[in-house]
Amino acid sequence: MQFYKSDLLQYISGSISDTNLLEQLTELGLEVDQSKKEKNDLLIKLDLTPNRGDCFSLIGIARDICAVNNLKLKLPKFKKQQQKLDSKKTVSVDKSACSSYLGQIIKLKSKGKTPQHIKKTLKAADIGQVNPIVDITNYVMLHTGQPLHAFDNKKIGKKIYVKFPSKRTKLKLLDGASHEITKDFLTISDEKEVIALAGIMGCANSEVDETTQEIFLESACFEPSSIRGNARKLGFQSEASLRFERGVDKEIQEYAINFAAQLYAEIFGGDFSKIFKQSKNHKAKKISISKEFIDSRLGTEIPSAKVIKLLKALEFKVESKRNSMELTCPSHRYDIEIKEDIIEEIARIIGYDNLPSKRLKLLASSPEDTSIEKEKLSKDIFVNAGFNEVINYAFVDSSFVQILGLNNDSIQLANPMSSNQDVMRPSLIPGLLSNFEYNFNRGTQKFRIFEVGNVFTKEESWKSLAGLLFFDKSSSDWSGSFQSSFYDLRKSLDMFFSRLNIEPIYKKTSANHLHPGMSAEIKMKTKSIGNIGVLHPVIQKKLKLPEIVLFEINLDSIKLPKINAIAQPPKFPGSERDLSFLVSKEIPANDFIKELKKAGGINLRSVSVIDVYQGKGIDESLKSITFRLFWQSTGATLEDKEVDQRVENQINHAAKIFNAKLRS
Amino acid sequence: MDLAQEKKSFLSKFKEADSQDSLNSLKIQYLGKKGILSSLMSQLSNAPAEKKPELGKSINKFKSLIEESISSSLEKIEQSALNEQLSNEAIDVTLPLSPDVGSYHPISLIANEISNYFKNKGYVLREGPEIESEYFNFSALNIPENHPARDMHDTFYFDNGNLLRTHTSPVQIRSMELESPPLKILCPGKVFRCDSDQTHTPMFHQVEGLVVDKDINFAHLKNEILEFIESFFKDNPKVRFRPSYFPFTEPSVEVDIKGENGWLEIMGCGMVHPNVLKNVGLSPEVYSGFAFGMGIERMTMLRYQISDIRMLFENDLRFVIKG
Repeated sequence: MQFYKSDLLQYISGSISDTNLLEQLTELGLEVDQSKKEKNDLLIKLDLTPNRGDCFSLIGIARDICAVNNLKLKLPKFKKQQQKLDSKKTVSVDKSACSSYLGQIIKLKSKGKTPQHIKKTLKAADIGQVNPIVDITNYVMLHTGQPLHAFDNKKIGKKIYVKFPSKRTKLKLLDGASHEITKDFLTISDEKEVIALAGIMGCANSEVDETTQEIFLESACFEPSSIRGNARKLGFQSEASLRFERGVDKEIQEYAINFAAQLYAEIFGGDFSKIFKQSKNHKAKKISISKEFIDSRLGTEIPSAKVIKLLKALEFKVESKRNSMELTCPSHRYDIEIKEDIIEEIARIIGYDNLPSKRLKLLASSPEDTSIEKEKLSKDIFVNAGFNEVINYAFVDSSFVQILGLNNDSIQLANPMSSNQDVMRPSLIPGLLSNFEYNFNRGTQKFRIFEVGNVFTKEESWKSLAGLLFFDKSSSDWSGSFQSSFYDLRKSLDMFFSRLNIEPIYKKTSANHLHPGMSAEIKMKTKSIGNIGVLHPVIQKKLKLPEIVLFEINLDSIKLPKINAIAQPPKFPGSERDLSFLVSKEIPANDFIKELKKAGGINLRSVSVIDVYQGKGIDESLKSITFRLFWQSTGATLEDKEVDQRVENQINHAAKIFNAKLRS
Repeated sequence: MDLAQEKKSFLSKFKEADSQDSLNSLKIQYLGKKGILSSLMSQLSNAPAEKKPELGKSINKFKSLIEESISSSLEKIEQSALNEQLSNEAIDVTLPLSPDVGSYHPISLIANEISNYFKNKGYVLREGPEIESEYFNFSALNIPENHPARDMHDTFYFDNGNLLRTHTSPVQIRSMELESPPLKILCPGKVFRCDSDQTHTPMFHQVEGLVVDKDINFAHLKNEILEFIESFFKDNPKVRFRPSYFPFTEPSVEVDIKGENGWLEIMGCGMVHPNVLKNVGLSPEVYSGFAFGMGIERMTMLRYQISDIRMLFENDLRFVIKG
C-alpha cells in the first residue's frame, strides 16, 4: 500500500509530524518500507502483513493512527444520490460466497475527466490510469478498501448472478488474457455468460471505455474463502483479489458505492437508479476477555480503564461485566477472532517497547538429540584435522548425479529454481566436486574439504559426512608435508573412527564413481556405511578433473561412543618380534592381521605393518610384508619360550590360510 | 724409577696429547694395572720406613695430577666436539611452512554460537526432517491452504505433495507432539524457499526457539530476546519490538536493532498461537508459550560484514574464516 501523507490526513483531526507518522506506523505493525519527500508531501510505502487487509485503505490506516494518538477519525458522509433512473435489474446471489452485493446503474451525462487529485492518489498507489470511470472505482477503493467494479450496462443483461459456474468455462479477462476456469471460481454472470471473475477481475465482454454511457457499478463483499488462491491459480494478483483474500469490511459496501456515486455526479453528472441490494445479516464478532487473562499474558498489570479506553479508540464496543469485558469487534477488523488477538491490540497500542520484560525462570530438561551432538563432534574432528568445512545447496543437477553414476533414486523437485538444481542430492559428493572445480579454477592447489548434511533418496533421507582431498604436486613446498594419496585421506578417516571408538573394516569393492582398484567400502560388522577412494579415471577424464580422493559415510549409522572405564596399562615388560612373509599380493593386509591376531593369543597387543614390498627379487604374483608384533601380559613378564610358541603358531597358521612363507 | 723424572716425562707427554685416544692411552700408561703409577707404588714398599709417608704422599699427589689433567682435558675435547656437532646440526628456523588449518563454515560458527548460548540457558537442541508434509509445515502451524500467509513462503514441492520445509517451525510441532511441557527447545536447521537475490538464497538456515509451560508471558519473551541480543551484538545496540504477523504466533513481533543506516530486522517472535497449542493437544487455557526464530545467514552477514548472501554458498576457500 502506497499513498501520500496528505491523503491520509483528510481523515485525521489533528496534525502529526513526518517523523512521528513514520515511526508510529511501523510501531503499529504497519511497517514503513520506504518513504520519500515530494513537493510539500510525503510518499509512504507500507509493507503490510496479510492479517491487516483493513489497512489496504487510507481510512483503515487513519483509524490506527487516530487510536494511538487519541485523535478523532474524520469520516466524510455521503448521501444517496437522487434516484431518478428507472432501470430494471435483478440480482441473485450465492450468499455462502458473497455476504452482500450492491449494484447501481448510473447514466453518465457528459464526458468526464479524471481530476488531478485522483490522478495523484492513483499514481502514489502505483495504479495505472485507465479511464475516468475506472479511475473513480480505484480511487474509492484506495480510500475505503472496498474494491468496486464498473460494467458497461449496455453490454450486460438484466439479470445478475453471483454464482459458481456449473462447468469449466473459457473467458477473456480485462487484461486481455484468456483463461479456462474451474467450478471453484466465483463468477458474476448475466443470463448468457460470465461477465466477471468475482473479486478478481472483470471480463472483456463487459468492459467500460471512453464511449460508455451507462454503467452498472458493483460494490460487493465476497467471502475470502471463495476468492483465496483463485487469482494465484491464474498466475496473478489484482488489487481487488488482494483485498478480498484478506477480508473486506462487511459494512462498507453502501458507503463506498455512495462515495463513488458522488464522484460520478461531480465529474460526469448523472442519473442514478436505485441501489439493487442482496445481503445477509452478519453478526458482529464478540469476544469475552478478563483482566486476569490480559495481565497474565502480558506479564504486567494494566488498569482496566486504560484497556477500555484504547479498545474503544480502536472502535470496539466494550461492555463491562463482573469478571470480564464483553467486546464487540468492529466490522473492518476481519482479523480479530480470539482473545489473543485482543492481547495483541492492547500491546500494539500501548507499544511493544513500552511493555516490561521479565526474566524467565524455567528449567526444562530432556536429553539432547544425539544426532546434533554427532554432527558437532564430526565437524570438530575434521576441522582439527585441517579440513575446511563447506555448505552446499541440498539440490543438485540430475545430469551431474548421472555422470557420477551415484544414484538413480534421487527425488525430483516439482518446481526447481533452475535445471541445475532439479533433484535433492543423493550424496554430498557432487557438491564437493563443484567446490573443487570452483576453487581449483581460482588457483587453489590444496584441498581438504568436508561437509555434513542430509542426503535424500526416494525411500529415505540420512545425515551424511563426506570429504575431499587433493594436492597439486607441482606446487609442493620445501617441506613436502602435504600429501594426498588414498592413504592420506584414509588416515584422517581412521582418526575420526578412532575418536569415536569405532573399528570399521575396509573392503575392496567399488562404487561407480570411484577407481575400482583404489577404493574401499567401509563396513561396520556387516553393514556398509560408506566408501572411500580415488575418483574414477573415466569420470576424471569426462569432467576434466585431476586425481581426487573422496570419502562419504552415513553418520546416522554411527553411534556415539559409550563411556568405558579406563584400562590400567600393563606394568610388565613386553616382547616384540618382526616377521616377514611372502604371500600372494591379492591378500589384503587387514585379513592377514586378523589371522595373525587369531593365532597370537590373548597377550598379543598389537600388529603393525612396517614394510610392504613388491618388485625385484620377488615373484610377480607375490608381495613381501613385514609385521611387527607386540606381546604383553597384564599378569607377569612373558617368557621367550611362550612368545616363541605363539610365533610358531602364527607362522603355521599363515602358511595354512594364506600359503604364506616366512622370508629368511 | 725417579718420581721427579716420571712427573716431568708425564707432563711433556700430556702436553702433546690432543685427542681423546691419546689421552685415554696416556691414562692407561700411567693409571692402568701395569702402569707407571702401580710400579711407583710397588717401589714404595722397598723404601726406608722413615721416607715412606713422604714418598707415599708425593705418589698420591702425582696420581691426582694425572687424573685431573686427563679428565679436564677430556672434558674440554668433548665439549668442543659437542659444540661442533650442535653447530653442524643447526637448521633455518625461519623457513616458511603452510600448516593445514581447518575451519568451520561461517554459518556453522554462528549457528554454534547461538546454539551454545541457548543451551547454556537450558534449551535442548532438536532437529527435524528437511522434507516435510504440508501438515507440519503449514496446517499444524495455523496456516490453512490458500491463506495469503502462504504467499510469504515460496515453497518447493515434490510430486507426492510433500515439500521442503520453509521454516524450522515444523520441529516445534514435532517436539510438542512427543514431549509434554515444560518445554524449552532450540531447533537449528536448513530451510528452503524459491527465491534468489542479494539477500535471498533458495536454501538458508534458521534457528528457532520454543518455550511452553504454564504462565509464560510476553514479558518473558521480551527479556529472553533482549538478553540474547546483548550477548550476540557486543556493542549493545538499541532494540525495537514491533507488531507483525505470523499465523503461528499471537501477538506476533518483529525485532529490529539500530544499525549505522537505520533499523535492521533481525528476528521474528511471538506468543504461541492457541490454535497451534490445540493442534498438538495442549489446552491454551492451561498452557502458553513463546517462540522466536532468526535467519543464521543474516546474523552471519551482520557479524562478518558480508553484503551478498550468495557468497556464503560459493564456498570460496580464499575466504575461509579462522576461528
